[in-house]
Amino acid sequence: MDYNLLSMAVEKGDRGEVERLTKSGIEEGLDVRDILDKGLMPGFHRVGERFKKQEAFIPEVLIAAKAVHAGLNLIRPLLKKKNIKPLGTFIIGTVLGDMHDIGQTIVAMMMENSGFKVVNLGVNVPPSRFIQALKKEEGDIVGLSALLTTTMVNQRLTIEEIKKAGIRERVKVMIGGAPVNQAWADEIGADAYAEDATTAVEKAKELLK
Amino acid sequence: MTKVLEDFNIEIDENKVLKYFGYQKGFSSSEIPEWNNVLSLARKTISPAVYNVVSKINSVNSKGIVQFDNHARFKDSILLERLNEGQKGLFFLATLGLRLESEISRFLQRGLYLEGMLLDAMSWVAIQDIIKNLKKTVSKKGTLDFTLIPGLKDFPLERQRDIFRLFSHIKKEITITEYCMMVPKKSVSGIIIFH
Repeated sequence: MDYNLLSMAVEKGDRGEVERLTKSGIEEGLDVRDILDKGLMPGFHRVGERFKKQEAFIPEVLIAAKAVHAGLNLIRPLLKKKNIKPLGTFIIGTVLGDMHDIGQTIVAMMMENSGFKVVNLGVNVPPSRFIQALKKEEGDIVGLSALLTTTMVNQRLTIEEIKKAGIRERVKVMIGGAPVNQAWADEIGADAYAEDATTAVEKAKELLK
Repeated sequence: MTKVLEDFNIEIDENKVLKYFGYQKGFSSSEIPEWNNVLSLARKTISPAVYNVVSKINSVNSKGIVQFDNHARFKDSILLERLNEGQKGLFFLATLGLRLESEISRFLQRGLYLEGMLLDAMSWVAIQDIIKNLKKTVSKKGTLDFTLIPGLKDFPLERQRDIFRLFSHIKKEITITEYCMMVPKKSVSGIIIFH
């Protein structure tokens, strides 16, 4: 199996071809980590790059993501068997009072596709649930989403509660959502702000370095 | 008097949906294989309800309080700067209904992110179309000045509650949370100012 062909199939969003090539790679006995790192990820990364340059848009990113997913479904059990660890554990949710789910769902999917273990707490998540999940899952990063000017204050509240719970030192905090920006992230003491899902993945990887 | 608009035809302009995602002219929706199915689902599931009431501005005082004839009272610097006595406001509250929202969630839960995003984008375009239709209605009554949508530009989201209050006497399928979020999410409120 040719890694370049797999990578190109991801970029084109050709699910069937991704599935066929991944299967063939597994049957040939290729290292599953290589299938992921040399085949699936580079193609997805290129779509992400095009998205950042505004040469591709969300639908193309999602079509490519679907293709990656087709390959991931085949190799995930093998990665587990080989005890290959995820990049980190990412806990995500939309903060208390806010019921918007699309943005955070897309971020969760992109993180998962990029090798993170993701725990998605859903919407309207109170600080206590974030803290509980961070402790239980030993989360490395928490992503706080807010789509309203009236709920973005609960990103601050959640960070304050994480501090009170005594786990702020070991947890990185990322924020996102339509009304927030880097200045807000600085003001409330978040470690990173991401304006879109592909940036979120990059920043999460940087935070774990 | 509060009115419910019936036979409200909503158009989902495909070009506007593509533009919402960032596509320029020349890109065809046919390049997105899921497009047609999602569009037909959007058309099937949108069940709009549109409420509106027209009221004249009674007074604008120096403290920034704008009083409408219908007892709507806003304390807002934006309104103070832009409103004059004699102008009128068409207050509106509209929703695309709960079913559409359930379909979006269903897509997301099944990992069909593209379909969920497309349906979401189409619903925002549908909401724009409701506002466009309301503006058309207003233009038959007078000259349109400007439109205020809570949460957009400098008009605070909290004003949503004030507008909502005007429709409290009617049984409606929209509710508002303590954070001024409307349920169903695909709902909009606003004021179209005209004279």
